Amino acid sequence: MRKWIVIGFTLALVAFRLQSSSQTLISGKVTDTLNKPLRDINVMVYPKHSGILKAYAITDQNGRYVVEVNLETDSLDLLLSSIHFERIKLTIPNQTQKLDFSLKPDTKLLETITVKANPIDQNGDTISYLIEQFKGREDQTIEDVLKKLPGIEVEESGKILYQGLPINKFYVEGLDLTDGRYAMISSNLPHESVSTVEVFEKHQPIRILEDRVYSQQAALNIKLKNKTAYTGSGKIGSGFEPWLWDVKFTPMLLSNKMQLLASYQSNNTGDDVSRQINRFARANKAVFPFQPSETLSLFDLSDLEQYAGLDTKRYLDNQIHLSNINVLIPLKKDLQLRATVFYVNDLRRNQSFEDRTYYLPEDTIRLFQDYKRKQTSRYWHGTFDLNRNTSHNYLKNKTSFTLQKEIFHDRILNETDTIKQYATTPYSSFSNTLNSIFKSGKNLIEFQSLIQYDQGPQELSVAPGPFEAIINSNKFYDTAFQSATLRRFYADHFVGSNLKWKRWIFSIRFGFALRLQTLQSKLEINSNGEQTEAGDSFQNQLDAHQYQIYTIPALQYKFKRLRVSVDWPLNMQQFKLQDASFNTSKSVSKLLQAPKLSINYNFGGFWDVNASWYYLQRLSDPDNFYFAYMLKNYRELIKTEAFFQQTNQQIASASLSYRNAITAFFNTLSYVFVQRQMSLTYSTQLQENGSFIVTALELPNTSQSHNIQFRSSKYIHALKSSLSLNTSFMLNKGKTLVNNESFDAVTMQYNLSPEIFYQTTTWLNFNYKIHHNVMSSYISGDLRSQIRMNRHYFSINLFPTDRHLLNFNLEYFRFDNTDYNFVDMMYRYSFPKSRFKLEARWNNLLNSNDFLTQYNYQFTVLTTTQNLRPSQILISLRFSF
Amino acid sequence: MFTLSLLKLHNILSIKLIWCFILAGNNLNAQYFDFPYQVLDSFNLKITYTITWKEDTNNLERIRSEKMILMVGSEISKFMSKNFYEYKNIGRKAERAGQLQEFMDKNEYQNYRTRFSYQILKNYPMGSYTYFNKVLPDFMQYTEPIQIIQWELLDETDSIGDYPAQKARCSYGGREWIAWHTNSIPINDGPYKFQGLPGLIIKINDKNEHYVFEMDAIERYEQYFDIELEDREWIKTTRENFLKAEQNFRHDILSRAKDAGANVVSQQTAYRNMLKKNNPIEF
Repeated sequence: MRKWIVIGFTLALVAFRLQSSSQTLISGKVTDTLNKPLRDINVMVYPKHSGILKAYAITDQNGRYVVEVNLETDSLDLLLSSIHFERIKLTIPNQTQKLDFSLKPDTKLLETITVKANPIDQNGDTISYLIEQFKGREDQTIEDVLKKLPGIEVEESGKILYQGLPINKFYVEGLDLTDGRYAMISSNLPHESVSTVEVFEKHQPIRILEDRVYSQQAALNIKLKNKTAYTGSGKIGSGFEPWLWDVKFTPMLLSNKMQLLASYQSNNTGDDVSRQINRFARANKAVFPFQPSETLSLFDLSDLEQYAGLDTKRYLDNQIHLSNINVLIPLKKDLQLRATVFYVNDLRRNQSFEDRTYYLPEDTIRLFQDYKRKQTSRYWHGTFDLNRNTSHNYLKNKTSFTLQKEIFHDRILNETDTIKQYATTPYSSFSNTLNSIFKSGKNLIEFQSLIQYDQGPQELSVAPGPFEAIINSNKFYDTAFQSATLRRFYADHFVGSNLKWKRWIFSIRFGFALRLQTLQSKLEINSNGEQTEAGDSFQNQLDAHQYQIYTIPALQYKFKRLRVSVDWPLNMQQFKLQDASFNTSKSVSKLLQAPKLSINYNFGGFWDVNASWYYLQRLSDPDNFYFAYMLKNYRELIKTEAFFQQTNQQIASASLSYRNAITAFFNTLSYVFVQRQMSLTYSTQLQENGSFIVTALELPNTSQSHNIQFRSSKYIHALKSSLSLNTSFMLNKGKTLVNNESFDAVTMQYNLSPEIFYQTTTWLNFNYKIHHNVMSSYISGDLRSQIRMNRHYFSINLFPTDRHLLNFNLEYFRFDNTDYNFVDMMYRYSFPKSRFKLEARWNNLLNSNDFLTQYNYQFTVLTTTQNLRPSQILISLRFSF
Repeated sequence: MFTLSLLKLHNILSIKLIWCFILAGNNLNAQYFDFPYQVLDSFNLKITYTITWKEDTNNLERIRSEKMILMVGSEISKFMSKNFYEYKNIGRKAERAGQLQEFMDKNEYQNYRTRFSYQILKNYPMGSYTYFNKVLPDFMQYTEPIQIIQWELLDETDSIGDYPAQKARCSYGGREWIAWHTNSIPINDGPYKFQGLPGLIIKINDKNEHYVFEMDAIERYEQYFDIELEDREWIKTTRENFLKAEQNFRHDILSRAKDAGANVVSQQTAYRNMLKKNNPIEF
């Protein structure tokens, strides 16, 4: 018996020894340097040189830990980690032991682990994009990054769209510094200053009207990393050949109280920096009253064409200087003063070869001409406004002026003649708008006063004298001088009220608008050094008076996410024309209406449906009347005697949009139908030499158009890549009257453009875009022309090391049977520890020197061969501050 | 109190008609969002997870997803639905500004829908976690020791997102769970009730992948926010009893919807919806 006990005891002892040889216990206490016990410290045990965790413990509130280790190895790696204290790693023998630690605080780790956040987030109607997640090392300005955000598009001009609609405000820290001329900020603000970009969906910029007046458009808000940022960017560059310069300097001070931006930019590299002062975001105008056009163009001197998808920098031959200042300062609580002043001086030269084909039912006329233009523009503009925008009061007084002068020197060579055209088109305007909305009980009272005046004494001369059959009884003459002066005064005043009752909102406006204007024009001819007037039938002395009394009642019903609204604007218009030289006058009084029905429904949080229908009646603009002939350019003579054109327009539209911030998936599908019924038909008399005379006939005329669009974009977080697709189809139908023949003209167009941005590795990313476009035109049902265009755009960025960037741009165009290739190269070096970058750019490596574009109008196909900028090298120093 | 219960019922049942009923009741004097609460801790670190789950075992193709947040305080952490958290916050802001009616009219809840009304406070009380949820008309809570979840480390390592991670396994609430934690983020916490690994749990799913939590963001703020607990008449119970109560609610959905004032159609909708929700995270 005793023997058995001894054996049993020995066995137990052996067993215990066996067990204890494989299990070791490491225990101890962890404290801070002040000997305070630390809880939640990880104590981790790894076999030596192994990354695989085998055992661990977490300290309790007394700082105590016990780790049981079941490992055969001789030594162990012990690691202590936590967020607030230093990380300790040591190698220990694999045996039971007591180890106490005293840790020093260390929060560095915390700072490094907190870089990861949702790239896109949604809170109610606000979508936030975290710039850190989207920016690439090739990007410089916030505009470069905006282009990559799903749901957002940036057009070449700098205009920003969200879900296919232009944004209605561009804020920085909630302030609108530029009053819609936001490209000045977006294309100069370094993205490093920005933390997030927010989109406010369905944004109503006037706070007192929130929840009362619906807006379909969104606004963009830039949130800065620092609440007050001195930032901006600059560039000094030079190159050849010829001698090139490119200078930009745009410092900004941005905060949520006060903002300041100044800019000077000048170049002759084809960069049209004046796009930065274009006003892209503006408030929607009410249907009534009809307002005068924003600028005044008495002659038809159309600007450079946009060459189908071709980057302006490839062909624009310019010398531009731009200076701009934007200031926004708070005066009192809630009251802000904002000023914008800019000056542009631009010289542009352009040379192109035009091949114009006119398709008529019986005939096809084809004409060639070589067009050379030198255009100088000077432009001064200033806007000053005082603004209060709170939830109980809105006040805005805006004063602005414009002084502008453009000079055109054109030389046109056609098969028979060399034509010289010269025009000066000065223009000046002044306007003041006062707008006030305040609360009266639960209702709102609104008041607005708008006064504006503008004028343009403009001149055009053409040599040799055109239209000699009409102008000079079929005799040759040297020069035609057309002078014309238009002076316009316009005033509009209204009062309105906005009432809210339960789910109903009713608003109404009553207003009166007055427009007075005079047009004085005369044509003189110079023959053999002798200048004479062309006669009475070439003299306009036209006074126009237009009075409009209008009311805009609107009713809106809102329940949950459904909104239905009905507007029924009415406009009583009296219009009187009086020509002193013909001693005639004509007048018309008309009641015009513009009913509109719209429905908006939001469901499931992600979907939005809009449908609307509206009907608009309008009367021709006083600017479009010429009792006597007027020369519009070297090949257009116009006379639109006193017929009043009434246009009845019907627009039906529907759209469906889906956006999901969680999956970063944005889609919109929209359809628009427009039907226009006009009481007049413009008749074109096309001459053999391509010049034409336009007259108006009292003949009803209907045109229709359909437009379908689909846009989709998706961001794939794991790949840091985005995909997008834009596609559209357009159909226009109408009747055209040329050379006394009336025929149906149909144009059809479809577009397909997929795009991918792919971040392959940290040292390589690329962007690939295709534009596929087909335009067809049918005359009386027969296909007369079909233009196909394919454009492939490929851009690749390589980062051999952190500081070097190599970029290749490849563009390939195909029109029917002609191919065009463009290659550009860029190298950028970022200096260590500074915000300077050196950039060398070689544009148009292949030295492609011309580019052909085809364009389809009603019955005309215009093929333009545009001279391009040659192969050029530019070296510049960029900086941001 | 009663209106508030109805409001919560809406969250569970997704019966929009009941919402109208509340508004029609015009009982806006009661506190909706601006409820008294106690501050337990504060946080400046917020971790967002995406939960992807299948709520209907008869239709496993239907996958839902939502964002959840883990607020990491110095002592206590709180886990709940992001939408629930944000809706409560903006609602409270509106209520404090005296604009509750306007806020309700905006129907903001459409943007903040959630399926999860629970709140989990870890290390509250110390060494335990407490689960808060409602089973209408009651608000319930239960506490369990943190050690209830026992982890087994596995040798497998991988990188999840940008983080090196190691696999671990546990069994809890009738499911086998596979977790990935990273020592790059030495926060011993994770989604739902899961915690206690030496590093943040960045992904966890049950064996069948009916419930998957994946981390997608860590955000740190300059400013600290409160970790709150609403002062309600929380009924203290046990996990088992809570699950029972929840099951009873599910079986009794018709009469509860009726009690809440829903019409017959809504009652039926609620019933049908509830039938589809047959795959709870714990059983």
